[in-house]
Amino acid sequence: MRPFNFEVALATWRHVMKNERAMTPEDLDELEQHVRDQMAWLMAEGLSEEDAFRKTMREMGDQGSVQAAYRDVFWHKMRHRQTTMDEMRWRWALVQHHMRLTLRNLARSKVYSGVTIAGLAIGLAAFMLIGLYIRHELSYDRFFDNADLLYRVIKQDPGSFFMGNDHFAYTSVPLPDALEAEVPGVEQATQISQLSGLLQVGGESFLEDGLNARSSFFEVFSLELISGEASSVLAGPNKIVLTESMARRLFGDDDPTGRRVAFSWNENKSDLEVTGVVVDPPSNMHFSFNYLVSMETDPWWLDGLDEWDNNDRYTYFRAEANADPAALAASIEALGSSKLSQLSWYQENPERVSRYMIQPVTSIHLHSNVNFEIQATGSFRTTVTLGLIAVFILLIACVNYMNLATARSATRAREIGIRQVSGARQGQLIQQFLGESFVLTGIAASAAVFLGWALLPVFNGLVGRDLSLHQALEPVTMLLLLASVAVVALVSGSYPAFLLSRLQPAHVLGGHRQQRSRSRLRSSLVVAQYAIGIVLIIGTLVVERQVGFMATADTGLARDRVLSVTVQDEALEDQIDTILDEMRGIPEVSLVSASYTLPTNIRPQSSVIRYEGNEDEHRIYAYNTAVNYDWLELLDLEIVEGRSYSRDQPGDEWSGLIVNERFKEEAGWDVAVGKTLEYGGRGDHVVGVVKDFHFHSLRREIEPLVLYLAPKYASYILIRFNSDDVPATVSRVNDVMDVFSPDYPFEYIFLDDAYNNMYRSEVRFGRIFRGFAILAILIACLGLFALSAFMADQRRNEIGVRKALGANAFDIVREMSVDFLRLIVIALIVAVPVGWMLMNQWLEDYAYRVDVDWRVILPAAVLTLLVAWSTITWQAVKAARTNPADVLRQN
Amino acid sequence: MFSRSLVAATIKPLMLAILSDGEAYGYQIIQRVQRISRGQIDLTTGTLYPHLHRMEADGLVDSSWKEVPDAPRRKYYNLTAAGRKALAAEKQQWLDANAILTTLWGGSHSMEGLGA
Repeated sequence: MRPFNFEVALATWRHVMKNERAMTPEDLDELEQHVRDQMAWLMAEGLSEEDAFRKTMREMGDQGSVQAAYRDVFWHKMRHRQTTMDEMRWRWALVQHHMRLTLRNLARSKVYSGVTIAGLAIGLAAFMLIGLYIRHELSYDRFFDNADLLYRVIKQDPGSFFMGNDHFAYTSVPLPDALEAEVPGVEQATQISQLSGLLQVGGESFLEDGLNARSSFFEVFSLELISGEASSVLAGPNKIVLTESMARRLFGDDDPTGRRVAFSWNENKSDLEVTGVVVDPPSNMHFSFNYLVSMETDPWWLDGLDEWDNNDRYTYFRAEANADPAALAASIEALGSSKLSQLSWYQENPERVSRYMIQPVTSIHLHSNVNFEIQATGSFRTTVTLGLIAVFILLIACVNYMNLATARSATRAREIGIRQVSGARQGQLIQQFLGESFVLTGIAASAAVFLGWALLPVFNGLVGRDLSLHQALEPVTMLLLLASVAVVALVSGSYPAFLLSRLQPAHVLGGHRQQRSRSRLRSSLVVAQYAIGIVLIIGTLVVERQVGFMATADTGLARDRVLSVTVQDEALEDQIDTILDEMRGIPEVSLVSASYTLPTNIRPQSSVIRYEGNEDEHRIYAYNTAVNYDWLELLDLEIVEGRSYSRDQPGDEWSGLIVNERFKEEAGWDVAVGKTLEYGGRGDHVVGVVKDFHFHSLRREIEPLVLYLAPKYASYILIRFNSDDVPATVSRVNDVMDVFSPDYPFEYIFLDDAYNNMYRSEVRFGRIFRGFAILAILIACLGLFALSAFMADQRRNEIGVRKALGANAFDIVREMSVDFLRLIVIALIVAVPVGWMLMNQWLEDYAYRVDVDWRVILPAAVLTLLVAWSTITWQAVKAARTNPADVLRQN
Repeated sequence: MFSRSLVAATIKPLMLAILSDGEAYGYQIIQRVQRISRGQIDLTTGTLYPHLHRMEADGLVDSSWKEVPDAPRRKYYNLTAAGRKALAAEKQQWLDANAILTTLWGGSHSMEGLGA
């Protein structure tokens, strides 16, 4: 043993103390002098040098609490000495140092950093895009002044179900005036109705959608007028306000104010004066228009001024600032029942009086569920689902980071050990690793911005919106985005930081490997990643199977090779027979007919109460459409009783009805033909029964249907053709239409497209699901790839030795793959029931649906296993092919 | 022996009082405290200095370095004007506390005599 040396002992003590940044050299000088004074005194008392030193040190207190006491006053002192800036500079240097370390570490292990950054970038890009979408969905109608005070009045017609729903967006003409006059708390009411008409200026024609609007429109909806006075632009008949882009299309750069527009709609023609121009309405408004025509222009509005039961308009109002919504709702419901119960029909049927209700305008886009919505609304469910997917994808990316960072702890243990031995405290190490995760996430976030920018058009197509990146540049969105990036950095960085900083230097430097528990956590994270991915795959497959099923289902009518031409000009009603004859003259055309609605989506509905054999006032809600001759034949619909319409039976027109089997069943008839029924004034006897076919989407059951023969009511001309040269056929049909309807654009659709369009939202949902399922699996596989690479790398020695001892490559590959594949199997066991449950819930909306069975589960399982297996095997094979000599020589 | 919390409470007035007799360095202060308190107040060296530093940052004391042969410099502490004021305030507080406790415990002081 070496003899005690005071100077060496003192120097060692100083060296240890120096590691505390809060202890300045001056502080140490002071303390050292103290030690010397104390020593001198103790030695004078007769203690040996060594004992005196020990006693002095004991009185000093333990190193930790001394350093803590100095740290406590450190900032206090710094402020006093006004050296805070120096301290900041020092800290900044430390940050720079950590940055350099981080970047060096990143560059050293390219696979690891590439995978982590790529995963985070993809995850963040997905998160950003979805965030943009959600922000857009939530922003609907909030831009209006006093948005919180705007309400729409809707009504419930108890028991009168249309498409399974007895709530309606339509209200009657006199409602707004009554609201203003009789309901306390209503400040201003207005009304709009949908309009589609032909605008003509100087020989040019434009068929466009617009709105009829009451003069108070701009006082309720604060859209900015470029010219015209809000209170007067729509006052009086024959006024039109154009949107900026519509004005440009009609008049170019000229000032449109005061100009005239010839306007034809329904059977009406008007000469309108342009009184104002409004900015183009933003896309996050729950209705849209190209122009507004003053309500007084509409002759039906004038007719309806005291008709409370004629509902075809949307009524809105602005409440007074302090109005209580519940009180408003109650007074409006009372208003409705007092007006409606005076009507004779409601006096006979008091239980069916409509109930007026109100809904905040800002809630319409995501939460309204009513019939005859002014424009397709968004879906709260889709929005929430997308939000969850975004979070999940980001989590998968974070897990990659955590897994790879902890897996690498073995490789980095030495670096950490050295830093610990040379005095880094746990806090400093945590700071370093968190810093690393911030740098990585920062790099990934910048990449994500570019990725998001590049993918935005694709994403817009997916979700059917027109989002732009500059929406993301608003301060609030930016802050949210930065905050989420910080959260991601914290979430993914904190666990590795905590874990790595706790490594015991002695273990690390002594060559001990990581503990088992850590790889167990890693395994469960991998299971979680894949479970999420598998649920998404199951979702994709179910949605796509359901869409495929609906698209190809035999709905009972032949919808291929049928062209439907829209009749825009109502004035053509008297010429329909001539037009159909002209169409029949086209050689490729085999059959021509027409109807009031498309046969794939028959929407008009009435209730039938007077039918033969109805003794207990049963009411049949039956959908109906006017059809022309040959309609059933053209669609290949089967007559199961009686006959189809015939030109030899003049009594068929208006009075001969054809019902479907469902109607016959509900009427309780054994034989339908010859039975009488009164149906909205038309028809009186049944001539035939058509076999049930789907005239709505497969979401709905087949419901009762009544067809009547009214050749004049032709909104859609149906043309069955037998040629393969479709464009030529279409162009000949177009030629015919141009002769009869030169001003209107030629508008057509193939019947099977019209049918498939009903599933557009499902197709969209399916595509979204597929896109993000692929992303999720891709990110998870990136992680698995890097993880297996590290595992393979760690086991290089073992593999080398085993190969040298005669193991063959196949065994090694198998063994390495099995470990990982076991995790995927566990993920499957977790994910399959979850996916099964969720998707069965989704399918509940469909009356006709596919099953979630092995045909979905098996492909999902095989796909996942295959992708994961090929990811791992790549690394395993690489490891197994290692030449043992190389490995063994290195050691 | 005083409890730790009592030591913590008395440390500031103690040091102010000692320094009011003239400048001193850390080791001297500890020596004097031990002598005066007859060992009842045991200051840990490691925590005394941070206390002095905090008082210095608060402007109650100031310090100056003096060279010592064959060893690091020695740091002397001096009471400032603000320090004297603080000492007076501390003194009053401790006297008040003493008076209250004495009254409660049946001593000779009466509450009326307090000049809070």
